[in-house]
Amino acid sequence: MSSSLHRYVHIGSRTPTNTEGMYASSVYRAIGIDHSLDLETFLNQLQLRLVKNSEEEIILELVGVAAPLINALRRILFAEVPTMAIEYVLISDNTSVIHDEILAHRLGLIPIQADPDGFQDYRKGEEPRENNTIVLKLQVECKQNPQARPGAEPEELYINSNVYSRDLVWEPLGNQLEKFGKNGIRPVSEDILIAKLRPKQRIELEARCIKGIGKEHAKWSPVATAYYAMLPQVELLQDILDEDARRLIQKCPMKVFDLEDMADKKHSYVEQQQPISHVIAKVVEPRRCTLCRECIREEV
Amino acid sequence: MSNELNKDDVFQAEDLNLLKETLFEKEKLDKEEQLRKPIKSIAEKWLLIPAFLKLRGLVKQHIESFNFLIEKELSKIVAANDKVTCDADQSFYLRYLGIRVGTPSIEEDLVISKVTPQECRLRDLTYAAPIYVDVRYTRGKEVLIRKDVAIGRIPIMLRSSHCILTGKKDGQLASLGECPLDPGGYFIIRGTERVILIQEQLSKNRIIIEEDKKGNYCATVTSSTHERKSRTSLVYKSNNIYLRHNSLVDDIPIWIVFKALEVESDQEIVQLIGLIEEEYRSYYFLLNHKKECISRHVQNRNEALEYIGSRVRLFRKGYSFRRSTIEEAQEVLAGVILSHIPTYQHNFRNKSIYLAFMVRRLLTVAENLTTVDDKDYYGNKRLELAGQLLSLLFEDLFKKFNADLKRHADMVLSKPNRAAQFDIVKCMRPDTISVGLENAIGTGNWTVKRFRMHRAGITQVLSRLSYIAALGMMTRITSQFEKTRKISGPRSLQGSQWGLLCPSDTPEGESCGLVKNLALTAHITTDAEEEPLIRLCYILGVEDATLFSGDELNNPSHFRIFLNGKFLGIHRNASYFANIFRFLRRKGAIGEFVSIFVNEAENVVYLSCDSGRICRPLIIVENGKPKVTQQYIEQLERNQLEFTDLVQQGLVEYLDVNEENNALIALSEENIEPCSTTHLEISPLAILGVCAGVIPYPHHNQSPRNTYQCAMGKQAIGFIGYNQHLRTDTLLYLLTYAQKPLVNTKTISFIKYDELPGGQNAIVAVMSYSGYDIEDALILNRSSLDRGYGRCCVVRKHAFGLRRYPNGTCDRVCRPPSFSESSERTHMKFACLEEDGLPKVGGRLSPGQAYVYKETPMDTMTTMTSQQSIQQVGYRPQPFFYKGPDDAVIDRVVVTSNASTHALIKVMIRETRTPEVGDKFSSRHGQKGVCGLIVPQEDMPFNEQGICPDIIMNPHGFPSRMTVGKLLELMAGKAGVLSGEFKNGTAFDGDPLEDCASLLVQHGFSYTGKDFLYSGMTGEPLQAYVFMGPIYYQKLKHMVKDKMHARARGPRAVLTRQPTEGRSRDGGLRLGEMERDCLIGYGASMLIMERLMHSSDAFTAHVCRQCGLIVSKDWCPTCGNSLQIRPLKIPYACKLLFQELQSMNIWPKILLEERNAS
Repeated sequence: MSSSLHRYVHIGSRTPTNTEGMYASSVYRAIGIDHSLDLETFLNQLQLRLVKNSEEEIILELVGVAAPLINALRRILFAEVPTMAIEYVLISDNTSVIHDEILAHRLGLIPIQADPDGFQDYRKGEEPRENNTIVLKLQVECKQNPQARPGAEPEELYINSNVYSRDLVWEPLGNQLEKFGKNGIRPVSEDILIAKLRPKQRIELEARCIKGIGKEHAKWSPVATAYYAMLPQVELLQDILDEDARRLIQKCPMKVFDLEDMADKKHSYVEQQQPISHVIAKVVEPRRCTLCRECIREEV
Repeated sequence: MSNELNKDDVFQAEDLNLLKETLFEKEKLDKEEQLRKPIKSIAEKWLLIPAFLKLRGLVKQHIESFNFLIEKELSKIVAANDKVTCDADQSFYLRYLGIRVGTPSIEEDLVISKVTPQECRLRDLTYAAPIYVDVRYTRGKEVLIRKDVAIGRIPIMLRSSHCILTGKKDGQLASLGECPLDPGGYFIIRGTERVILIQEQLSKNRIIIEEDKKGNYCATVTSSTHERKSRTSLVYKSNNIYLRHNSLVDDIPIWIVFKALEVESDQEIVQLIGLIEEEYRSYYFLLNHKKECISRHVQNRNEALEYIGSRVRLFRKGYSFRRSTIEEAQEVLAGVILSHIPTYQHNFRNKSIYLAFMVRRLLTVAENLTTVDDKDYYGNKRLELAGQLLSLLFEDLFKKFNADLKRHADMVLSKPNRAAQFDIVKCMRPDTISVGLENAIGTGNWTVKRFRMHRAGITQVLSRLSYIAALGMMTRITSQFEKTRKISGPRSLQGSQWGLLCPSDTPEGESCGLVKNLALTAHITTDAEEEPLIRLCYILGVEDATLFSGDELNNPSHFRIFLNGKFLGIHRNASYFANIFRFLRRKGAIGEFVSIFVNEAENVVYLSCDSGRICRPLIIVENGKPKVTQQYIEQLERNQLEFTDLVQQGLVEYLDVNEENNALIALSEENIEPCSTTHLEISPLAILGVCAGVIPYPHHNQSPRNTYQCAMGKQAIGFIGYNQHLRTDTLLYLLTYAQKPLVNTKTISFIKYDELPGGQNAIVAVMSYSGYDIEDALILNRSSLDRGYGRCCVVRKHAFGLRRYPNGTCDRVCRPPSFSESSERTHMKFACLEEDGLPKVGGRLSPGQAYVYKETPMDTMTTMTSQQSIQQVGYRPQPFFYKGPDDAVIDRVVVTSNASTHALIKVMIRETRTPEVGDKFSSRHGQKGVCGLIVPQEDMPFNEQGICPDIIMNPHGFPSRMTVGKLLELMAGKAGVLSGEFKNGTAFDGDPLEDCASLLVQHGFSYTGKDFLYSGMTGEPLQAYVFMGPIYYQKLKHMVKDKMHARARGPRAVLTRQPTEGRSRDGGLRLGEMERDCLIGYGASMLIMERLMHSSDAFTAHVCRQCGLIVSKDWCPTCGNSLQIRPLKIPYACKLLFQELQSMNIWPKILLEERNAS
């Protein structure tokens, strides 16, 4: 009991309870549990599993970590991991409807694929060099498309009606080309819309990326978002049979529960008297639970 | 044209029989069984509203009224004043044959060219069109006809029939620099857009029974004709009735008036007034009257006229020819008293009948049979629009124009020998009319001489803060009541305003309830021809009243028929008359806006076709079935039908406030009573106006909250038009990433608010956080701001003209000194300028830098003789420096010219702002708050999906405000986000909460809308579930950057040497009287001394101890010595006071004592 109390947050229908963790080493000393954290036991208890690791998403499963620690990780991901992002934009021509500042702001938010370890911090007023700056150039002009059918969509009517992040061209400085390779530095996504143009409008600019951290501006945050959720554990406190079980299964939108034939199980006291056709609700996929509390909702 | 033909057809008496048959045929069909069937509700019947708006537009009332002025009213005015004669030469005349208005144009250097509204806005011109007249006149002996003589220019309302924008497609509008969503309905006067607000007035020519100041009952009529406005009252006091009028010195007993009006026998008078409900009591007053007549020696008509004539107030002073008193009385009775009742050749029968009816109505009230009329009842109100107001003004100006012509002709023709022949057309000066109209609209001061009317504030500058603000202004109604009077009657919401005026949209404070807004489907009528209606009435069995005796007039089964307050006659079967009348209107034989109202209590049928009545469309219900069926709605949807078709086919009709009294209107199909219901509402959402229509679920909110939102929606920053970047407004706020609201309403899509939105959808968590959220403050997420939430542009216009001086010199913009001097300071100051003295577009401008380098000539007075000396004149630099708190960017430079100045330069300076602590935000439920804290994203709470709120709002905002609509908006918005669609929160309709909640469950969220959140700081779950979801938030124009102010040292006023006042002058913060009282109470005398003198206007004066005067440091001119002069520290204002007193020959003596040595 004591261990479950300190390990689980209880999801009540009105409020969650037991949300606070106990982190002092002495909290459970009275009942004979040493709560102190030492590296060895921590490492022994720690289990880490990589659930998913794709271009855009990493999902980790950690066991044996308390909220403050994982939260610290989350916060660091947001605010303190350096990345490269466009900070200075030298605009030589912008006849689009988007104001210069807004355009620069939009450019800044484009995630840049570049290894920040290869760069040093750029201090204001410094000369842009190979070891602190990435230079990207953008040069687009919208033109009438002579082949377009009349009355077609603007995308067809005009050439370069939309300016995308793929139009940013990397201009390697110094040894950057050798260091990062031909395609080493580019926007993470090619399809980020920067601006829309109409014939005779053009944008010509040079954008300079520098190293920074998310604490200064969200554009340097390496993650779109970072978050964690506690591992849900769903327990049925009593057997839920037949109609009730079906209703429970119906209720859960995430399909946490499933029906099971009671015949297979030598389970409870009802077995002898009841016919075999009875079903019982079972928790099958507790991880799917989104804490929607639909199963424990109190009807008003 | 075709309409008129139709009318003639129906007026044929033979057709009437046929018509009666069809009517009765219908009645036979009323079978009981048919009526018992439940009425199927018409799905999507609200689609009638967009159809209505497509036809009428949001500002159609303004445009229609203006069109009416241009197309009909102008010719009427000219026809009424069509002749100019001359006293000097009897054979001279000038006659106007016709009038037309051309297309908007300007004349520059004798070249007339067309203008677009956008050009007028940019160049500070007036969007006006010339008025042409055709004239026939005499020149010497010949009679000439001249066509197309310009007599002036009239400002043209945008999107009216003479505006170049009408009928243009969106693409064409775009190429003219115009926003296709712009409603029009306003004028452009010298570059500013001005709206003529709708003016509310008590209706004219109607009898209103009220109590006067002394508590006496009186029947009042404000007669209004083209020439004259006058007020006639009958007062019931001390059991007598008196006639009271401005042109009479004294109250006249009504008996005498009747005698003067050719009703000489007492019996006839009594008969005309008639018996009231068999009450004889009221006729005691007759006896009194009789006595009074005898006592005043008035027995017959002549004596009565003599009596009245001797009491006529004479306005004409020193007028040469005098009339006899009898003539005077006749003149007043015929033309002034009840002037809207015409008298032909001194036949007063109509007038006496009308007067008798007034007496009758007054007596019913005096005898407590009915109560006094409700002045606030909306049927007694008329709305004056741009057309009517301009026609008043134009007629006045046209008369002045003609008077000027006549004076000119008199002057020239009276001279015995003239060199050239007098051609009056060459003397027409178009300025009278042009300038008169332009100034009136430009300033809002309406001066009409003939009515002695002088009103200010008729027009206002169109607010372009947001699209809603502009739209809201076009539907605004102001009334003439004084704002200061503490009366609740005219301010409170009247039952009769249902469906016509928005119950929510009114300002708070002094003009609360006096300024109103039109509801979505309200329409304001324009004048319709009376003649055909009168003819029709006589055909339909109205009998001329002059043929009846008083007894017959007052027969309870006879109904009096009034048309626009004029007495037409008697009808013996009012309900039959009303039925046929309505039938004809539905058939299209009579104008759709003509109304008929049968007043059973008064035995009167009121017909009206005058302008300014407010009405709305309703579905006609016949035999318990709405005439608009599903099939019509489907056709509307497929664009096979238009709203006009429905009106023409008699399925929908317009009812004005009075006629609504004869109707039983069902709110929905279920409420239709088989036999009695006559109409069906189109949709309840139409009771709201434009501004209130933006609120989702307004029917769940406490009502003042909706009112607050109506006021705040106008301050929200958003998109203002597709041409917003082309505009040159003095101040423009633009939201960078405005979004369509997730929770839509039908009104939003009708008015296209979703295409020019004024806010952003924010994820809001309703929880407390950090303590910086007290008093409605909001917590914002820093990352959201970094990513563009609430980012806005502020564009300011800095305009100036280059003046040309009388001596031929003029201002110039030229090469700044930074191009010739090399000093660092100059370079810094003029860094933003290019060689032409104008700033670089896109250049960054820091505070203190110049944005234009202008020079003015040193000598502007002495006349220059040659071109050379003009060139030799020296110039004084006069650069304009940017005074902003932060760096800005030059957005645009417009160099152009307007009518008066040499050149006009407008520099638009732009500033991009991200939200900061202290900026004001509001949801659409009247819940405003300032930003209290900006928190980094990692500190914000997040849910199991990693969603982090953009805004945290304190839950204490809810219980006392009771804005349940906001909770519903959050639920609907969350459901919409999860299911990927826009939700609908229309008033009285909207997606139900249950549906939204079950959508949440389907997507794995709680039914309650509350999420399980983790604290961003500790990482632990929060101890409560938090209500979180998207709510549409508006950024309001109030930003700290424009308001913050502090001063340590700074400018002082010249006269008093005290610190200046106000932020704009970098003024000091006042330590006022109450603050001073605190300091006195506390005893901090030295602090008072410091605040009030040392930190303000301390001054060392020198005082002569002998004479006590303030003197110079080393000489006292009074005493003639310098022995006793001592320095003294006093406030400069005090010194000033003493000197001013001295200048008035008062000797203020300052008595000094030596300070004790101790």
